[in-house]
Amino acid sequence: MRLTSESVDILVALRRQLEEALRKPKEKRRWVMVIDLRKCVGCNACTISCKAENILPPNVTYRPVLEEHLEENNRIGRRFLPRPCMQCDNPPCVKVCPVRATWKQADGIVVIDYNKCIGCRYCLTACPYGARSFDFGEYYTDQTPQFMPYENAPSWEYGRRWVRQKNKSPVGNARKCHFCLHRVENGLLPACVSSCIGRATYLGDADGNTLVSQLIVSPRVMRLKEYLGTEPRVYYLL
Amino acid sequence: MKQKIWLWALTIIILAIGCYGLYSRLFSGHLAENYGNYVTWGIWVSAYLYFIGISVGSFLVGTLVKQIQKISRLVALATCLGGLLAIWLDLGHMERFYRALIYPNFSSPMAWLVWLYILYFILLIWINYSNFRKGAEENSGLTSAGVVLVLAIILSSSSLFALTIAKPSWNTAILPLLFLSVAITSGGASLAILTSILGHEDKTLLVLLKRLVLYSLLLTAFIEFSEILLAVQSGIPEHYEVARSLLAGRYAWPFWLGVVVLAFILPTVLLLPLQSTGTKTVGGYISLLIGLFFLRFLFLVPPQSVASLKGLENAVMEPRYSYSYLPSIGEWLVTIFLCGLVIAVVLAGLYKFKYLGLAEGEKNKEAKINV
Repeated sequence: MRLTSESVDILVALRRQLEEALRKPKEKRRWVMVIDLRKCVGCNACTISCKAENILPPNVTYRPVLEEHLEENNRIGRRFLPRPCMQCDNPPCVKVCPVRATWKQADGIVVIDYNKCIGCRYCLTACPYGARSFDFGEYYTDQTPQFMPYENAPSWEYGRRWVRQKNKSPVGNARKCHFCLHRVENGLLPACVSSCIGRATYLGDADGNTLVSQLIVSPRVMRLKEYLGTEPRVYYLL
Repeated sequence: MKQKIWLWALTIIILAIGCYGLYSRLFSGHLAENYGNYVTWGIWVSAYLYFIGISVGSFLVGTLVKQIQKISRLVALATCLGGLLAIWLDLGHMERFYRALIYPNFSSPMAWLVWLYILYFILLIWINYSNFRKGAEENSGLTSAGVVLVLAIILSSSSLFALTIAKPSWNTAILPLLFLSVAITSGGASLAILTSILGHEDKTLLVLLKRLVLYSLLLTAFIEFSEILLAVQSGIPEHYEVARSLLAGRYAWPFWLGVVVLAFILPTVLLLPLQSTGTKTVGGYISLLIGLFFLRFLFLVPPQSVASLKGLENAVMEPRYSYSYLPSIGEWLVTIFLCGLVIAVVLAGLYKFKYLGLAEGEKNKEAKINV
């Protein structure tokens, strides 16, 4: 199947290809993300939708957008670079976890078992992309006149129901982007992909004739800190 | 008698002050602490490195200098306890630490360390128990096992940082040597203070300890400045930024005052000439021990204070996504509590030794401990 932006909206194409990939066994899928930096306008919609989707507390952000100011010959430019977890094929965070609480799945996603994580934060230190955060147990509306119940709404990360409570996971754990695996496995695109107003983010199976498989061999492609040998699964189009 | 009460009173005051920090950590979790998502390890991890360094260093020095072997084992136990408690309090889920024993991931140096610390701690308890109960010579097999464990701990704890490719200034093969030299310096200085306070009259021993401390300090300074020189000269951005923050940036004052003056210059001035003893010498050792805490802190924090990607420093406007770090009051109080705990264990051990007449390693000489 060959679907391109000329024939149908990118999101529709990605969704169809996602459904097709889900028909394959898990170990045959190879999720990759492609981010077209020319299309990114730095609106932070992906950051916010990710926060909302995963009910993220203060000081936990899975997908910040990095902003770079460029200046040359009195000309000013800005470049935006969304930074999800790179889902590295050789993930430094997995190697250092002392309790095997984080690992790389057959489909390529690096996951965390919150109930196993001891909160040593070694993985945060080891990630060259700063993609992991620690849940300190904070709330946005704590110590305000009214605590907002939405902060205790359940999130569905890794397909399980998580309600943040004192001393209970995911509080006290390392947390990170997982390409919205709970949505993807149910045929939905990740929140960041769905909410991108510039259609700058793509997610799909790198195996087969898919949109992402075409994009990742583009000469415009680059990956962050490739020299470290981490083999990121997030590709940027320059 | 007066001195004994004074020392204990001071220790109890330190513990009482520190108790609030402990209370805050145990009942409010990590909310009151200032480390974040970029500077993930703060003063508690520095304290862990510091205490474990003293522990393994005093074990090695005590093995080399037989006269102070028993006291060295006591110091090793007390500081090991302090170090392990520091790292335990730093965990997000303290109750799950057992998982590192049951489900270890041996590709992680942290998992190696958990096993090594368990064995080391058991060994220290066993040796100290034998010293208290029997006062007999230490079993050479236990000593050898201890030395092997100590060397493995030094290698593993330095590997924990050196294998982190995300932090170029840690990613160096010289780190195990730096950890070894800092351990011997800090362990030797702690034992030398105790030996001086206990009024040991064996001049040869005092000079030997001083020589050991000064030589290892020289090696520490050499490694430290080689690292900085290479970072500055090579100009590799992330590495260079760490050196710049130490020499003229955010961490300049703790570096120049804490490391250069307190750890390197002042002790060298106060400890020389080798034959000198008394308050000046003790002052030199105390300055050295304070300076080495700065050294551990500055080894740990500045490499975490450099953005790993351009733009990351301003990408999230939330307080814990910050590259600057200053310990909170709670963190300081816990650190003070740990210091008090280590001193209390050492004092209690010395108190016990006094009755056995073993404080100076000589059964026929009455220990001159007023604790």
